[in-house]
Amino acid sequence: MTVAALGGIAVLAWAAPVGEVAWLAAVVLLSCALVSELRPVHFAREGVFLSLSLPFLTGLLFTGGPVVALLVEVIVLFAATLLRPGPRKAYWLGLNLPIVMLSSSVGGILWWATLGGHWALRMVAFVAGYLVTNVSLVGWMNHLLGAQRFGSQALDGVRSTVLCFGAYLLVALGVGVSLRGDALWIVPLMIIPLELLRWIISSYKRMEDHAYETMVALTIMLQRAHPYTHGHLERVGRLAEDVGRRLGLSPTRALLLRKAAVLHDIGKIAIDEEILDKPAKLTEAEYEHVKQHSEFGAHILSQSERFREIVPWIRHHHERLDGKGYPLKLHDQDIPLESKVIAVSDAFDAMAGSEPRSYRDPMTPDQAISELERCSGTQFDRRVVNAFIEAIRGGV
Amino acid sequence: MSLGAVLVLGAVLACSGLMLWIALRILPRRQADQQLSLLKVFGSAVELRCPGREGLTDRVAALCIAVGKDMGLPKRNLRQMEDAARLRDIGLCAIPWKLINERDSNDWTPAERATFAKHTEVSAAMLELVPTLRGLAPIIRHRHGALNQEMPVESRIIAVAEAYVERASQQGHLVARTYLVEEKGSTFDPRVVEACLRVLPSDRGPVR
Repeated sequence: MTVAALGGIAVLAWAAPVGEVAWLAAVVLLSCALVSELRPVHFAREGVFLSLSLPFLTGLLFTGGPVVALLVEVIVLFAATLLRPGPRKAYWLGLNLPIVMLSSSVGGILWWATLGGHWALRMVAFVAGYLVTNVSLVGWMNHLLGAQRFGSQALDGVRSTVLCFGAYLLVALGVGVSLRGDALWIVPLMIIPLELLRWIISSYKRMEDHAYETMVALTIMLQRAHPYTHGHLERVGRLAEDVGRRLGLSPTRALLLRKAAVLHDIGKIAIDEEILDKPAKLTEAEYEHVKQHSEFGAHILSQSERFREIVPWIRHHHERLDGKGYPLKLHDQDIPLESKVIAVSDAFDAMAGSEPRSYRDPMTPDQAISELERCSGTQFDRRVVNAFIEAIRGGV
Repeated sequence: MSLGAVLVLGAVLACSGLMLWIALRILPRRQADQQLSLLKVFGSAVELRCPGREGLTDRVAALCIAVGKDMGLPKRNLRQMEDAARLRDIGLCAIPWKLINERDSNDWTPAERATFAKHTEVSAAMLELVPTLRGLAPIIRHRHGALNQEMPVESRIIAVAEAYVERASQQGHLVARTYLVEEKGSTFDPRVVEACLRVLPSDRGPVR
């Protein structure tokens, strides 16, 4: 990637040599960029910093061209990383430097390629090229490092994303007109809208964190109520997400499915743990008691708007295609796809998880798969089972 | 400066105004709504496990707020106290199901009582695992302890509100009030008890 970044810089330097540099403007822009870079939004769970310095870097296109923008970006990154408190500075720098250089060169090349167009259009091209490269590289890096997927959940919903992006672009244009109109004093004022944007984004992030931590606390509660074979919920979640993607769900929805799968047994908080762990076969009354857990789970989660979408998935995760499931005895087409995925993943992990539950004999994964196949069409959806087998075979 | 430039700068200004409005008016409300609804999730989980407690959480929380307001607690503490009141019993999930659901609490052996009493500590320990809720753990941990200097005022209020609501639901309001007055100064903070008696609806007659 470093090679690609250097290549990009070389192309840029050749195509758009450094013109006359307006020093005063460059220094003002650099300081503004540094100020914004020093106050990033920290997405702790994803391990990502979101900084809002791009509008000022874009301004540098007018004062010295893309190469100067790139140089300043590197300087700002160095300075900000060194000034920001926190460990592993060399690591962050090594990680971010190639990303930033490559994003800047892509943006710069687009700026140069649109030569002759209106300045505002060229600016938009730069910003778009930069952001697309940056976001995809960060996503890729995170994937390589095995960190949590950057679900951009903090900017949930189209409306807020459009608002944030629009505001960002507007500020960049504002910087542009101020520079072209020789009104340098307006440039530092642009920090105000960026701060507001930062405020909004971090509020959304806090809400997201709250919801996430509620989820964590609920699973902790469940594990206290019924000390689960450790890791079962996590594994079911992972499997369900993978299967969901293979069935064509969007990444965001697959992530939601993962959360639902982690929470699917939350209703067992209200079930007698002695019955759940009973090694022998359950009596009729005991089974009726256990069967309540899917309805209980739905009731618990329905208290919050936040979980509205996953409530039906959890309510129906014990339905069967042939209508012999519970609680509503739904048939095939009435059962949500997500519930079917949870049902299959749960069944598989219960049969073949590395620490199978006490009341069943452990199975090998192959035995469990043939059991799933045997039950597909009656208990499980054949399509889901097939996708699941693919996920198991392809993934492990 | 050209007309285009003025337009762009005007748009930036308008956009800032919009963002300010969102940040000041819309987001705080949404945040509060979400916070409350997420807390209700815990409440309903506990109430499902212990059906005898249905509705108690809401009532304890409401009484806590009323008492806190009467005592002039700052808004921030009120919020914290409400959260703590709603989360105080999540530790009940670690208490054996049969003990809560199939045995009358009056017949518990001392050992079973001790098991039940652990739920306070379990609640606090669970909250300590969750970064944004960690601050509530001390409030919850101290509320069943002896009345001493270290006990935070939030814990004192929750202890009183909880005792009142639980007793009132089982034995009636009059018994509950009498209980508060009897324990005033020993188990409960006198100032809190007085505030509590002031805010309780007086349509049931004055305390005798």
